[in-house]
Amino acid sequence: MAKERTSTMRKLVLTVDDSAAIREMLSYVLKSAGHKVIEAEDGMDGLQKALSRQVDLVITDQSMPKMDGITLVKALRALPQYKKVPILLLTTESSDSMKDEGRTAGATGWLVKPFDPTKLIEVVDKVTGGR
Amino acid sequence: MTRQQSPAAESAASVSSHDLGRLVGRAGAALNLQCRAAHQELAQTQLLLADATRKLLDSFHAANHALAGLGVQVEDAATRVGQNLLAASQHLQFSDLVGQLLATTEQRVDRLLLVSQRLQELIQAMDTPRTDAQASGDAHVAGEKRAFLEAVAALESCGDSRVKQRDTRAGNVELF
Repeated sequence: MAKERTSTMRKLVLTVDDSAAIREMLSYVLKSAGHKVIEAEDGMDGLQKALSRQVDLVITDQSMPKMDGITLVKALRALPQYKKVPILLLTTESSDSMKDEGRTAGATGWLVKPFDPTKLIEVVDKVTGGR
Repeated sequence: MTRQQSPAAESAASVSSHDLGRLVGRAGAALNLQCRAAHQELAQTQLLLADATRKLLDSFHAANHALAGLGVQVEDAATRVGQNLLAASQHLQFSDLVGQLLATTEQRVDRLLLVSQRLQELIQAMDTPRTDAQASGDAHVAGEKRAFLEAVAALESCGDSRVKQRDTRAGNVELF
């Protein structure tokens, strides 16, 4: 891994996206910053993985088969162990109404694709209290 | 056409209606053919895109793996290559955006194809000469008409693609 950050603030991040390319790019960027990553390919898979292992941050797409991102946010927020875990929506959607829906569901932030890797790491550090 | 028309006028109207039916049928067949071709081209584009993306990702990871093995002697070079790979990770996301656009177009073409098929079926049903089984023929036409209107409604419900991006510049970030 290129220049991986040795980190005492290493976090376990769950990435949820039906696009393999996005999952791989997220994984690459997050691992480069020293974080550990679990990947899920849709909301349902994401929910199952979040239940099987407590993660420090969830980054999810909105539009996915089986379960969309906002439904996943609602499902996670209904669980006591995920009440305060940051959840970022990373999506092509940029409409205000959809953002409001995400905010109301309990998302921590909204990132429009494509993501800037440096900015993403800054956001991850900020929402997880990593720096 | 009304029942008050003369037999000659009725015959002319009937011929013209038949011709119109044939013309619309021909247009429908052409539309059908082109929609099928467009559908195949889109599916082929998806395959090419997926293959190219897969190979780009493999090369990307291989370069990253090789970079990790270079050691401390070439740390500066490794840092620069690492920065380039990081920048490339933003632009490789084109695959997701293009994939979503193609999927929307594919759905649109599928629905166009369905309208074209239903139109042809409706015209065939309307062109079928009436016999003593007229009532059953009318029911058949009504059924085809209903199917055609459903296909049109499905086509009309195709909305705009969610993807508005025109390049791979980074999107906005908003923390709530």
